Amino acid sequence: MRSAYGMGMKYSADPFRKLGKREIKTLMPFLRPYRKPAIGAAVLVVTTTALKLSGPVFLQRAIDLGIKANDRSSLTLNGIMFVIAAVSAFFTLRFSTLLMGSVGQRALKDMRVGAFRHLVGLSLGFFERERSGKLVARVTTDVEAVERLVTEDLIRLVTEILFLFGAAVLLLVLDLRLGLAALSVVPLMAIGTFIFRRAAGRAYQELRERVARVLTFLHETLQGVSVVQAFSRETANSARFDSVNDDWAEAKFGTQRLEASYFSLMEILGGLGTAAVLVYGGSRFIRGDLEIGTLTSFIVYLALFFEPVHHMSERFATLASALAGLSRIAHLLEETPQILEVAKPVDFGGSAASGLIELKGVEFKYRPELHPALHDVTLTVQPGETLALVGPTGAGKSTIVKLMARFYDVTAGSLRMDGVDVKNLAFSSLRSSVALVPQEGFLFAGTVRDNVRFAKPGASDSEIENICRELGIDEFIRSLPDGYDTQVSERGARLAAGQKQLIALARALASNPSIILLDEATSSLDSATEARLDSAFRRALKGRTSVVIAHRLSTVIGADRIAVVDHGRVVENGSHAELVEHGGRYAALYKSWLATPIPA
Amino acid sequence: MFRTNLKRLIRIYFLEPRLVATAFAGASLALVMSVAGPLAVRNVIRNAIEAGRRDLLLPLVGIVMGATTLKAIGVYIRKRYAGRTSIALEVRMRGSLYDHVHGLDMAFHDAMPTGQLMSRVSSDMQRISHTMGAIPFFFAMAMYLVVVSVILFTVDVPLAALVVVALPLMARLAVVFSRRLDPVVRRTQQHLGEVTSVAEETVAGIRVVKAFGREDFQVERLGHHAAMVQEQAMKAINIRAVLQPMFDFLPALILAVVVWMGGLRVIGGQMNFADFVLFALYATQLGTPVRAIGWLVGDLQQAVSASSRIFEVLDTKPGIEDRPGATTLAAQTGHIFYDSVRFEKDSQTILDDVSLEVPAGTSLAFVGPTGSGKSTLLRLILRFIEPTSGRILIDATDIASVTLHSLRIQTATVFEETFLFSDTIANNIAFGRPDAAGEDIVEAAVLAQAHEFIEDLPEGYDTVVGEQGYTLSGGQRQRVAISRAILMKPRILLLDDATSAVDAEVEHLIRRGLQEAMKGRTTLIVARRPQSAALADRVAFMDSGRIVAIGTHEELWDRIPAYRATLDANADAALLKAGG
Repeated sequence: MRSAYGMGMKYSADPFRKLGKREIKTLMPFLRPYRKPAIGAAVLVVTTTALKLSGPVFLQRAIDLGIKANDRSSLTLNGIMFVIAAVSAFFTLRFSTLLMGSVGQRALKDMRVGAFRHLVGLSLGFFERERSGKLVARVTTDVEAVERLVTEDLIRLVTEILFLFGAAVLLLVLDLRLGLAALSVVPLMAIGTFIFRRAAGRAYQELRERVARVLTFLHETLQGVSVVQAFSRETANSARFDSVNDDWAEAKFGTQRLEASYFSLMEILGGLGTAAVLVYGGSRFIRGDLEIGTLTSFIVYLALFFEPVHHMSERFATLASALAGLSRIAHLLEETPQILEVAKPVDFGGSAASGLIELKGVEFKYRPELHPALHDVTLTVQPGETLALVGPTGAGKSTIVKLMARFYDVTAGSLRMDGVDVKNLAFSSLRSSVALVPQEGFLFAGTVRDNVRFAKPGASDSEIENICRELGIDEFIRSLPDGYDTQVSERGARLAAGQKQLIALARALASNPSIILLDEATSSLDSATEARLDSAFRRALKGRTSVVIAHRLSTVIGADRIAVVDHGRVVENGSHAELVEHGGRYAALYKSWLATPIPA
Repeated sequence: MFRTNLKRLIRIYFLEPRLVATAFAGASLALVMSVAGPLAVRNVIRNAIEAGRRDLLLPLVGIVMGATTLKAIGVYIRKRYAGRTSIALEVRMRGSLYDHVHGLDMAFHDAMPTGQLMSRVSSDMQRISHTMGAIPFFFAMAMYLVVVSVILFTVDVPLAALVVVALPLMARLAVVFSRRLDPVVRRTQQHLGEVTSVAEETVAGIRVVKAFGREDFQVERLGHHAAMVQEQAMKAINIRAVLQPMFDFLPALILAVVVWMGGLRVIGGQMNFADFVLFALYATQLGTPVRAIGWLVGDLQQAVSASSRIFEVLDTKPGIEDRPGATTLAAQTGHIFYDSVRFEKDSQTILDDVSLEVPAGTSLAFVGPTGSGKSTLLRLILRFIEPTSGRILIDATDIASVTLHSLRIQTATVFEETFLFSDTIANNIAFGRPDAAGEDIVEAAVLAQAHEFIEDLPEGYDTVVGEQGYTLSGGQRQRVAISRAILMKPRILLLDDATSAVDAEVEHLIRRGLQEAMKGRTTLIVARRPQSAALADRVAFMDSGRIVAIGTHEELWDRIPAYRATLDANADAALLKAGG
């Protein structure tokens, strides 16, 4: 049987193919607002390069006009010029680094926030399709991969390339024939670089995938460590980790071999260039055809010329991972939200809907190619009514609730609130009318107070406490270590599932919604919490339209109406008494509930 | 502290003596040849070109070429072997960290957030291996500076003195800057961590965010931390914007001074021209080594502080491990005896002198309010924790005296929260017995009432589940977990109320699965609902760390109001009467 650690991490085959047209397209909009400082930085970069290149010119003049001509003042003059050029280069490089750094950092912040904004704007379907870890990486590690490129390496790469060209031109101008001799190795370098680039693209990608595999494996072990220990699987797991680890090492060997080969090849080719200059230039000097200063500065130039070539392999590594990151961000940005507000939405004004919900002939498919999750569901919930949805797992209960919260749009039929199709309803009206309490009672890192306030920003402390008092949970919250200021998160106090749901319930009430959608918890609770939860539910639902995915018989019996959902259809719909009377699915379900081995 | 960690790092580094030696040999070759290069060039200028000896030109240039080639070979060897050293170390350290973390007791894992450990294994480890991989390079650079200084002194003392004075100053500068950079980098990492947290919880709680229309709020929160990252990153750039131009400028300045002073000396006849070229060539190559040494100091500091975080984990002794002379727990009947067991945690008494016998093959449920010690009794059997006093006997053997492995392979646990690994269903079921045959896996799944839904999955038993795969419902996951326990054919079965979060029909299936699993096995159940309590032959009713009553579920239900009240809150029975 195949193992599947690290699945779902396929990247495009070669990040360098077409040299990232799409990636650059993704990057550009983020850089555009800062084009003025970016242009400034570019000008400074060109100036720096020119200044750096001018150095050896003064050097050559110092040798030829000064030393060889025994002219001390000319030597001093050119020496001073050399220093002036170096000082100027210091400042231009400093300011271009600052400018480009600030452009890059601002653009990256925009990218981080922009990608995140886009992400949270996407429809729920997208989140249910994608793995959460991958989505988080888009605004974290992927942006970080771009960071090095934008703030540091881009400027270096440009400088180095400009420098290469500038130095080549200078060599040719200084002495055309000697220049050609020196540059004779350049085509070989180009071929070597080309081959390296292609091989490196693949190798770095492989390496990234294997790093991800190591981390995924480790992460999973840590999460399931109690299972690992209880089943005494440590040895077998270590063996598997070793093999994942070894795979990584192999890939890393590969990239290092490439880098080492490239570096050494460039070293040798550089040496060949110097040798060519020495042989050809030397014989011309002996013939009296060349100044010694020219020859010397040629040798110095060549040393400077080959310096950036050595760094190319590092630049490629950065570039490769930046392009990979950009392409994944591009992928995210290309995703379009499915649920949108219409151009002229119906707005209930400040007031919430009265709470009438009507589903007519609703069909819903999660994806076009899938079977419908709901078929022809027609259902009305009157204002103030409590409807319990019961039925087996996967019957479509949560789908109905998700449609009511407009996490998805119906694929056929209609869903109306107060007679308005939810598709035409303003988001603000929908959100202020409908509140959802998820089963797991999801809380955000922060205090209890922050979590309740989440639904009603700007609510005062006393408002929040009032809501909790009404729910009957004020006392419970005050019993927590820091009361309303207790941190609830991984790092903070560990709350039981039922306690989290109580807070989630308070949060839902904070916006004073007319419709409450409740996925009731069934997880194991202690008796005190359980009792509190029960009474809180009752209070919360009073006077509101509520749709409850019910797991407990008490809720079901207490509901005004019960809809039995099976295989995507509402198969029964009526009050508890009616349905028991009817003797159908619900009656059977009720019987099995009664049959649980509890002495009555 | 710094010193001990540094020493320990160095010891680890020399665990690969052959690789290290080869890398240093390569580095030395490259070093000698890069020093020899300019000498060879001087040789060409002086003895061939200036001497007008065209016949010597080719052979002497050949020497230059030879030096370059040897340097390239040296660099190749250095890069390859330094790289292999760092890879070998990383594999070794990560492997031992992984093995070690496995063996640490649950108390450690409960206290250490997963994200923390992950960052130690990934970014801290990378920092160390990066620095270690660069050591031969730093060695070469340092030696280069020494050798070049010596050569320069032999050629021309005053000029050499000038260059040699400048070098330590530059190195010092690099050290100062990299130290200033260090805290900024650390703060940037912290804010990046916050960005990750916001992104993670938004994705995890996306339904809530969307249900309350609070997308903008979350974006604002992330934006705040992103702005902090930007601010810190700008501080780093401010430092780099001085450092980088400085390290271009200073070598250029040295070169200028060499040319100027050297030129004056050539004109004055105190120095010959070839020596002058030699000086100039060395001067152009000084920037890299000096910069490298500056970075080394910074890198080394970061690596040592990263290593202290890794050593901290490696040095944590498992609170529970095999005692010296631990024996193997023989597979017998599975008779359990809690003998006056006390358990205290944070000076709170969780279990207060519990004595209890569970005959082989029978089942017992623990019922009691939260914090009464039910789960503790189960965790004690697994030796996730150990009693403060008293002992636990299985088939008359104290479990403290046997190996953890032999103990744990005789038990199988169905946890309250089902964890499945990102692997196929078959491999998840076979988790405790990786060598199990296909038909055994299917048999276990059939018993656990899981076979049918598994067959309906896209790829049946080969369907990948878990974080990286197909999403199963709570009830399905539980049945896979029960299959996993059944396949172990354990002497002892531990169930931590495994019937939460499912609806009535599925619960019925799960109960049947459990009844199959319990057949002929000693079973302990933490029961929070009457349905689970009713599964067991007997029930122990717990309160405040004591067993207050023992009997069948029916007896306790009839006899003890408190027992009824504990289960009542969860039960639908009372409400059933009211409603029906």
